[in-house]
Amino acid sequence: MRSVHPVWTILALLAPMGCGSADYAMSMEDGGAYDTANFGAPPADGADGGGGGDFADTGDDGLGSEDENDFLSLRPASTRTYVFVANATRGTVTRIAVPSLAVLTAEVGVDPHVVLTSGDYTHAAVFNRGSDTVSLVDSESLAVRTVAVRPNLNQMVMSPDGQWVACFYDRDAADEGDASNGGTQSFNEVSLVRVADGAHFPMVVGFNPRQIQFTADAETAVVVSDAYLAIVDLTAEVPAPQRVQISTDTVDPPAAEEVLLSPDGRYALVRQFGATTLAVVELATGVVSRVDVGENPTDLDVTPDGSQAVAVARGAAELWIYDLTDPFLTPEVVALPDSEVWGSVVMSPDGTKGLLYSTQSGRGVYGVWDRTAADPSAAVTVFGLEKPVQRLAVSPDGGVALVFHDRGDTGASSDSPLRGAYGLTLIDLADFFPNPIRLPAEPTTFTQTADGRTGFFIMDGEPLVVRLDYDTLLPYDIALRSVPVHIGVLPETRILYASQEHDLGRLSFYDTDRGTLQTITGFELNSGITY
Amino acid sequence: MRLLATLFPAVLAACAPWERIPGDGYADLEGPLWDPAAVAAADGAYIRLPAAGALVVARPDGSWAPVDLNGAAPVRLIGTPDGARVLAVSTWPICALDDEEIVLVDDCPGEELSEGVELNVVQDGRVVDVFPHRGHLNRQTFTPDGKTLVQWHDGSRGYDVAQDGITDLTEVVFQPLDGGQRRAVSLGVPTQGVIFTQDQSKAVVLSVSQAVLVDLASFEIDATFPLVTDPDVRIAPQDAVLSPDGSQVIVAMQGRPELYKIDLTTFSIDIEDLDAVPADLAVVPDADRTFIGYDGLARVDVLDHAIDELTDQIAVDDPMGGLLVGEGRVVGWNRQGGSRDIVKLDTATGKVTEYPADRAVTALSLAGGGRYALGLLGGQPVDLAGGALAAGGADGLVVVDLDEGTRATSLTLSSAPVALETVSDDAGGGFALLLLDGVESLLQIDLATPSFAVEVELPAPPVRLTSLPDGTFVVLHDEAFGLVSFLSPGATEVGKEVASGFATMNLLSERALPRRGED
Repeated sequence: MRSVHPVWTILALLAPMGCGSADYAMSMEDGGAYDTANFGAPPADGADGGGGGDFADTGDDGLGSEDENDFLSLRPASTRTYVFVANATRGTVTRIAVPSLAVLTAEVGVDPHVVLTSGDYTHAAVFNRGSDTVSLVDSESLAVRTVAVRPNLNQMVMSPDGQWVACFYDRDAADEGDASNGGTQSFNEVSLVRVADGAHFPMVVGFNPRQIQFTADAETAVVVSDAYLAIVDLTAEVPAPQRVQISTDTVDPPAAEEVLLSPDGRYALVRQFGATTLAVVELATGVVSRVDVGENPTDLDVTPDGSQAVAVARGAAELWIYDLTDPFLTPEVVALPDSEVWGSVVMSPDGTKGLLYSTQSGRGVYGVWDRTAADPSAAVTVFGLEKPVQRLAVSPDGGVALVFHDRGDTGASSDSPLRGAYGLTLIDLADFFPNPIRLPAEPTTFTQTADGRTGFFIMDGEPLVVRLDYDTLLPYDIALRSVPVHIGVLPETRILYASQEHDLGRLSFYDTDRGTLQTITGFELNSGITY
Repeated sequence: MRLLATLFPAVLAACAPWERIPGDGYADLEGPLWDPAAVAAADGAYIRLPAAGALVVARPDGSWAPVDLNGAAPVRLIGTPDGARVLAVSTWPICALDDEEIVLVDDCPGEELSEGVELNVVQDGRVVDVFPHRGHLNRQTFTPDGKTLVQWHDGSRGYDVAQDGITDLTEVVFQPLDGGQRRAVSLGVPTQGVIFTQDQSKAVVLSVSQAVLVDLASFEIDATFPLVTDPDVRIAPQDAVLSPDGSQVIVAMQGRPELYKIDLTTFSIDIEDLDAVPADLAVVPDADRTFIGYDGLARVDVLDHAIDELTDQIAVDDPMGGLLVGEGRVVGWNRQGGSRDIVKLDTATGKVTEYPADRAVTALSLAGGGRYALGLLGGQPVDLAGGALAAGGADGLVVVDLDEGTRATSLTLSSAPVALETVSDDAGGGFALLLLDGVESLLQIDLATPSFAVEVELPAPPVRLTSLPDGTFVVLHDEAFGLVSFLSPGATEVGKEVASGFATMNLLSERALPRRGED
């Protein structure tokens, strides 16, 4: 089984090449395009990798799935002029106007869990976990339309054009807030909602849906579940799933964990845990083919230019690189140092480097794969860390890597300053100089400015935001009035916002350039103001 | 004023226009004949005569004259901000029986007797206008131009007059004093206070758990600001100020360590968390800042309006729950009486200067255009707002020259102060008059030389002190039949400027039913 850290919401990755600026501020949190599967389109959800499920009897090495990233519950969503923040305990969504920072709230449903905004910035969609509804919010007027969806779901994604949202139950993103509301409960469902008219199309897609992707033209949705790929034609009057069985093993198939769509929307590449091949599904026909992937692929990413897919074959200590224009061409295979376990790769924004690591090996190391090296056999250099990697991210300009460490001391040296504590190592990717930093609590959310100079993260129960100066590798604490729940960077600015715990709502804005902090509290009252 | 059950021989009041002398020549009267809580106006001090049900004006030349309220008796007096007028909440008896034999109030059966209530506008000793009034309206303020009286009911106080019929205790009444329609706005919740926008075009009515913006032209509600989201939660505004640019009303709530900033331009609310319950707010427009003092925290916080954030935390030795604003400075003191320090905060530099007094400061005011801080020392906290002081509350006085002084000048008093009044001159100087308990004289203090107090002999023990708009001090004495002295600032003796005997007016006349035959 994949190890799950429910409160860890840092998602390991980078600036999305294809994402609009409005989504950019969240890209560090939701995985970014380099680590997601949808070429040229904004990531439809943050669930990359992970999974686990039932092991097949193929290449499983017993280490379990790599823990590459998690969902970021309650993550804010941005438009060009507004940022929306869901307030779970208050049943409201808050709209922050940029740059005026004027704040208004609208009542939505119970326990708003995910908020997303449309590509045309005209509306936001809020998934209300407690009331099994989706609230469609007009960005300008804050008028709300409520659509009932299937019960007991916990995640929502949006199509690139913002015209569809899909809700499902992701077991890997489960937390205590997912308690069943009683009655029958299925684990095969997706609720598809057409934003324009609020039409709801519930459907069964396969056991344990893990990830939903949309083609760049937003005409097709692809749902990957343990054993099936469901292809949904969104142009149909009544969308319905075409279920494709991924594996020929009908008794104990290897669980699918990840799906990538080719930029042209022709193919879906499905990675299954413990398998030795990737499933390549032609979306138009549903025909499933297979290509070799070494042994036990644990990560599948796309290069920043969208031309290639890179699979990490942990069992074989190899990288398999596919041409996405034709995944059936013979892949390039790069041998990795077999002295270590490599389960995941993060590509630098320029595509010249890949950072290799494993969250399951218990070893405090990472590797740098230099794609420009003349000798491919010497392309990977291994560096030591104070502790094993829990999460890894790279700054938008590729200048700095951020390696987060768990509190456990497995793999830590006896004299490590990070023993018994959470930690973060900032690494200058020019010379790979590390700066390990001891943390008082577990980081929960991470974001960074688009220019790649500054990062921010917050920690569980700590009333502060930590600013990371990527030029100097120094951290700075920014004291807040209360414990932050989530953070983000306002679109096209270097202004951080931090939503905090407060009965009446609290947001702080930190101007990175001026070093000033402004806090507004009580904006929940604003929705009740009549004038 | 001592409360006495006074027995008055009728012959002593032979100068009064007796109409109906009691048969035996004696009458028993309960309570004082006059109320020393006089209201000063430009032409003199207006004084209620509760026993006679009358109003008189005592003038600086020593004369006095009754004010004809058309048979009404003043219940409460209110001075207008400009000092030109006095408003008298008045009642008059109404007998429902239309019987020519019923002439006196006592002639009317009790069940047929009721009271009318009105608001008399008095200027230069005569009623210049009369407005309807409702007896539950027991708190008031004025618009900044002084032209409109704003009234509401304060639940912590009793009615001025018993009210019959249906009463809306949540209404706020706007009464133009120079003509115009009286308007009432019903808010649904009790009013705590009213503050006005800079352009005087709107009023912000602060109530329990809500604030309402009222347009003073149309008297329509422009905006309603809820202060809570949970209707079961009640929060009550305690103090409110307007930000220097007029865009925000800053409200302190009773018992809550926070400030509510109500933005009147964006129609939004922002709350500042504080580390303690604020005790006082001092707005300094020149610095574009509001200073926040606490009773329970030895710190003054600064709200910088330019960035709309709390910025500085100024550490002080003791809590400074009282803040006063002078030019370029805020002066703080511990209104709990637990500190000897008078603290000057330079609003430009943030520099803190402490002036320790001999004993604990229990009250503080500024005089001389803000140049001087004048405080009482020792004992329990007392009121310096021109009213009577608690006897025994203090026995010392302190004066600080905030411009040039380097230390406080503390004076020991022979007894507790009864009242303190200050007047300022145009040159930035000023005088203080101090009345002491049981002393038939007053102390006149030139604030520039506080150590050299001059004793001014009085014709009778004083009970209260106030001043006219022109700076003339008014001393109200403990004298049953009424005695008021007038004293020019700087004068060292009371001359002929004494009005006396006014409380005997209409003392023993039986009260006739007024306004019989009027609609």
